[in-house]
Amino acid sequence: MAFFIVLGLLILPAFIIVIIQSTKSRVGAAWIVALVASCLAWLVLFLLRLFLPLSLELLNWQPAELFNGTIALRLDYFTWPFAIAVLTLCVASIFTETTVASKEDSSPKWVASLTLTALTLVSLASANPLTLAITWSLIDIAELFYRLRSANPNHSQGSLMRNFAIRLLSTFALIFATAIAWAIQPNFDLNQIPSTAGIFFLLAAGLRLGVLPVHLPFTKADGEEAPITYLLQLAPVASALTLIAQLPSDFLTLNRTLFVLIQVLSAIAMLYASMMWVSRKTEAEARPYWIIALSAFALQCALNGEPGSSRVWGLVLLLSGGLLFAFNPPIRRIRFIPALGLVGLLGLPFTLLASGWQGVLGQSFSVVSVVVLISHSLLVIGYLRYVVEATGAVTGLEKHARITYPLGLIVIFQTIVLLGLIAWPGVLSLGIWWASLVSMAITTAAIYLSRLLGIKDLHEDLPAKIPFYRIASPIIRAIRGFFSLQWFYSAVSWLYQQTLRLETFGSELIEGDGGLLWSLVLLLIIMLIFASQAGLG
Amino acid sequence: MMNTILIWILIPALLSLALALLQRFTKLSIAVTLLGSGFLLLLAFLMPEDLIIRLGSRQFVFADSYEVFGRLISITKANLNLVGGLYLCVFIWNLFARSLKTSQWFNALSLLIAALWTIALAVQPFLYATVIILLIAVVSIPLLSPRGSKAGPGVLRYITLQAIAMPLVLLSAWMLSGIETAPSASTLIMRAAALVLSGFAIWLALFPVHTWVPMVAQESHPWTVSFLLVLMQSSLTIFFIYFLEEYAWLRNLPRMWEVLRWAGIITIFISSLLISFQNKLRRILAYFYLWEMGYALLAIGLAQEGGLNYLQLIFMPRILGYAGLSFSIAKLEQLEPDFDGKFNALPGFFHRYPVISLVLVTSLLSLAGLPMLASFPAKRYLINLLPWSGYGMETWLSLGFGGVLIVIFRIIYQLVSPSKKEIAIIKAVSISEDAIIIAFSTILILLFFIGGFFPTMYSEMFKGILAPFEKILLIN
Amino acid sequence: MSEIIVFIATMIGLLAGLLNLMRRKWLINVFGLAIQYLCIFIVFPKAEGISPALIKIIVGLMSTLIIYLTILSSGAIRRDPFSLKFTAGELFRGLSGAFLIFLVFLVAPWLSREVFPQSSSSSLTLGLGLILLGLLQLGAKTEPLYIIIGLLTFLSGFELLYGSLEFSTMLEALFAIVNLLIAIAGAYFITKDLEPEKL
Repeated sequence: MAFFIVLGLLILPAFIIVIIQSTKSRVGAAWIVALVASCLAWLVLFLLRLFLPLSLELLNWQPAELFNGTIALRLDYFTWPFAIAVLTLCVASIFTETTVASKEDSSPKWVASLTLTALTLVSLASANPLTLAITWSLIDIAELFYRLRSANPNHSQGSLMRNFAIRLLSTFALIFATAIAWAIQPNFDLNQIPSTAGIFFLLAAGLRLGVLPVHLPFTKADGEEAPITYLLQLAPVASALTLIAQLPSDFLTLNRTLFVLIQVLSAIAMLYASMMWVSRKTEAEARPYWIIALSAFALQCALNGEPGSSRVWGLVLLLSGGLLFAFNPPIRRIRFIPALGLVGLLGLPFTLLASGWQGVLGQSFSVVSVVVLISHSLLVIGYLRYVVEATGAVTGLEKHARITYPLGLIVIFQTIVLLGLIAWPGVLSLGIWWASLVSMAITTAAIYLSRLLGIKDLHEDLPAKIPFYRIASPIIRAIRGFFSLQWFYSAVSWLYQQTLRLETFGSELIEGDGGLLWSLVLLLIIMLIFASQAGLG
Repeated sequence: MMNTILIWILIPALLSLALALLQRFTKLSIAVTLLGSGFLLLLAFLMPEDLIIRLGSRQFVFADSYEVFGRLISITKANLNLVGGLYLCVFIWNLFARSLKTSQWFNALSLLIAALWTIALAVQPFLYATVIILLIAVVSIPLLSPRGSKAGPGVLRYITLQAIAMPLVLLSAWMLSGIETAPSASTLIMRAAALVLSGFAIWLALFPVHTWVPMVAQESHPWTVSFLLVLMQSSLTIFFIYFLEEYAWLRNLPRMWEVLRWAGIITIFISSLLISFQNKLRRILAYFYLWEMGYALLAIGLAQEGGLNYLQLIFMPRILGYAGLSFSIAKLEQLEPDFDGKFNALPGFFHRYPVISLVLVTSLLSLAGLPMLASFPAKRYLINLLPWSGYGMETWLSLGFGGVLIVIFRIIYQLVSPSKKEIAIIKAVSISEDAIIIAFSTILILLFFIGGFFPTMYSEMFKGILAPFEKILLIN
Repeated sequence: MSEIIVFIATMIGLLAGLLNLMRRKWLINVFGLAIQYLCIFIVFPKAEGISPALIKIIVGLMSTLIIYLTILSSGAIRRDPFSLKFTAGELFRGLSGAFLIFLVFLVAPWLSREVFPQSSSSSLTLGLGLILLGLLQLGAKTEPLYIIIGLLTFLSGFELLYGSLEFSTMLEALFAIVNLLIAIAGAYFITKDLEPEKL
């Protein structure tokens, strides 16, 4: 019931803001409503930590023998930390919005943030696949229409549609994964996913996260004037991360080939995304790669049979990422605040990420472990780079924003620290201490080397400073091309075109003159085949 | 004493005759059709099990059969659910038939066609329905090919294929009468099965005899086509179950149910593959019909696992899906006279006609089985009924979703794309969506969501349909 | 004597069907259709009395008349000059039809023995022949009139075949309605196609 209070505190203010703004524009009042409500929701949700696990049945489809399904929510140690993380981002976004809200009415964004957060909370608290599928669709449709509403009608919406398409595909993948599990155990909860079906749930989550196969999640609509809020980018991935965290731990022993394939794809995604993260021109451009890379880490945990560990990687994705992305406009004087996000990212003992090393490195050290360590250090380098490079035209803030803006950032950092202590029993651990040291060593070496080479701006100086860059450049491009799987998408597109030509020919044949006879002859042949298959003949 | 035959066959037939004379009085014609079909559908759904309506101290007892030419026509309470569904379609489609500029015969013929389908489902022995199905096809001609437009090859192929299917099924019936006495029953069974299955393949428009559906959809008014298709699909699938129920030899054929499942899966896959290549909106309606037919067959094939429950559950979502899809296509064509129905003419429509675009997209997503929309519960449970062990049927079924999703993404992409510059200038002052469009669209979208979240409501509507099929259900 | 008449009727019926398949001359086609129905009347089994056969010819001739009168009133017949020359298409259809008739003669004894023992060989031959010729016509042509003639041919063949197997008043009535409606549909198509298209 208390969870409903949280949801109510998010949805009701959204309505109130709409009503306030529809009569007379009162941005200040709207902002206060949004802020107070989200902070209250945040506090209530924190309090719920004391009462975990919580279950809530929303709807029971009747008759049971026909449907055997319920729409239910559950908050436990797998879902609660993500819920807190998403709500934190919502609170922070409302705090930090004040700096950029001065010119235009930002209330629609707050309404969107509150509604999307509420939907995401419902989604990641889904107790079973039915609820999850419904909430995924709900979020996707809501997001699509929100973005379409704010998009410029004179620009193409290619990337928006691609993103929507992939999200929808992941929902259908989830439906099929459920069907596979259903054959073994009907009407199961997400924490009871049968082992044999686990891999299909992983595929659904991987597709949604942009990892399996690697593809770019949505950045911003073509022609969209304002940059998309980071909440809108990060929140939708949360429910996929909770799904990974709840996967069974022994599912991959069943299908070795598929396991290897997914592991290779996931490692490719991890390395490729980390490289792209570190080498993009701006942080905004690099954001999708952050999501892919850390999602790949989460996936790796599940592949290593420790899906529970994926939680920390997911939380780092949301919170450390959120802290960096919320630093907009970047102000030199306070750039130490986003740098605090490294507390979450470095994975030092007794920090949030410490408990995640075991899951991502697995039981034995392998090639994938090397890829993991390199990718992690690349992520750290990138993070550092974007903090250091953070400069903007804004040198000072308005009076109220001088408090709210840093406060928003601190809320995120504070949550990183808090979750590192209380997210779930056993989160505070030493972890694999040497992993973070190795990663830090690689990071330090890389930074030292760049200094040695005189690279100040990674994006600008790197080509000029690297020896034999001209020779290396095509190789790098080729590797990048391979890792991005563009060749695969081109091949699929070619195949589609060829089949289209065949279909056009076939349609002309059977819909044209004499097509009737063709149809009847084909029917006769099919009937013969069926007759022989059915044992009729 | 009143008779169900009188109410649901004779009255609509007579009304239809009267409407044929009144067709020029548009408003009167619409009012009579709506009142008539509304009354018939309400009575069908509200009729008590014992067919006795009690109003105070008075009782109205309804007989459930009538003899014509020595043959029995019978409409029991179990039939009334489907009959109610048929008149529900008549009601919904007549709401907009005239405003969408369909044939002026629509009011009259829609009632007549519903009455004919009712006869087809009620006549005993039910094999005579085969001729009535052909009759329905012929009666539909003025609707599909109204005056003022050239007769297209699709309508002709439709009639032709219906005519070819009829003898196949009738001959199989004649063959069956000899089964008990024939010395070599297996040969007879084989012949009869081949004939009856071929006949049904043509009726149900399975690949490769599906061609008339996209052809008709391409050349005829989408609102009319969807009306005929929805009635046809609902009635024919039930008619097919009658066959399986009545003929033990057919349902007991070795691997018969598996064959039906495969037929469903293949239909789903092929229609999905073909739909992904289409570039005209009207044809999308046709391929969705075929896709849905695949699901209907799959549900019948899974009868032993309880699949028929989901066949009746999908009736209402399908009606809504076809109504939404054809309404939006017809309305777009009406509002944009230059719109040729091709996808590449869609850019800019989302901003010019947001409500209609929304209905179009929601209908497509609902038919595709997107969670939270009307078709999802039925499709989900149907998918769950598959064994999912060999990855044979299941793989094809999964692929069968791919094509449908591709075409939906293509349509949405085109809808939200910016219109071409020169068009944008011309359409600067566009015709807006009126209150009726907005009201109907809102109701429709709400119904899609209601079906997605509360499937019980729709399953209750048609639950009686399965009651007569005890033999099939007893197999469980 | 009657057997000879029935045989001759069978042959003429098949030739009329073949003529309809081959030629695209409206007057010839209508005439061929009438001859077809006349032959069906002669061949139709009389076990249930003459009335079923009478129904067939009356309905058939009425259908033919509907089409004829529509062509006549529409004036389309004047635009269709008569010629004895055969086009390549006509020759092809003629040869295909002849081959089908040959095939029917070839399989009719087997079918009579194995599948339709109740049917007389003439009913079977004419019925099956008309079914196949009708089917070929339906598959080979796209103009509404020829499709309608093809349909009527196909259905008349089937009705003859089915009539030799069993009799049902209700079915006969339904067949009659279907035939008449198809003819009316044919008339509708002819009239409609001559009207200017609405833009």
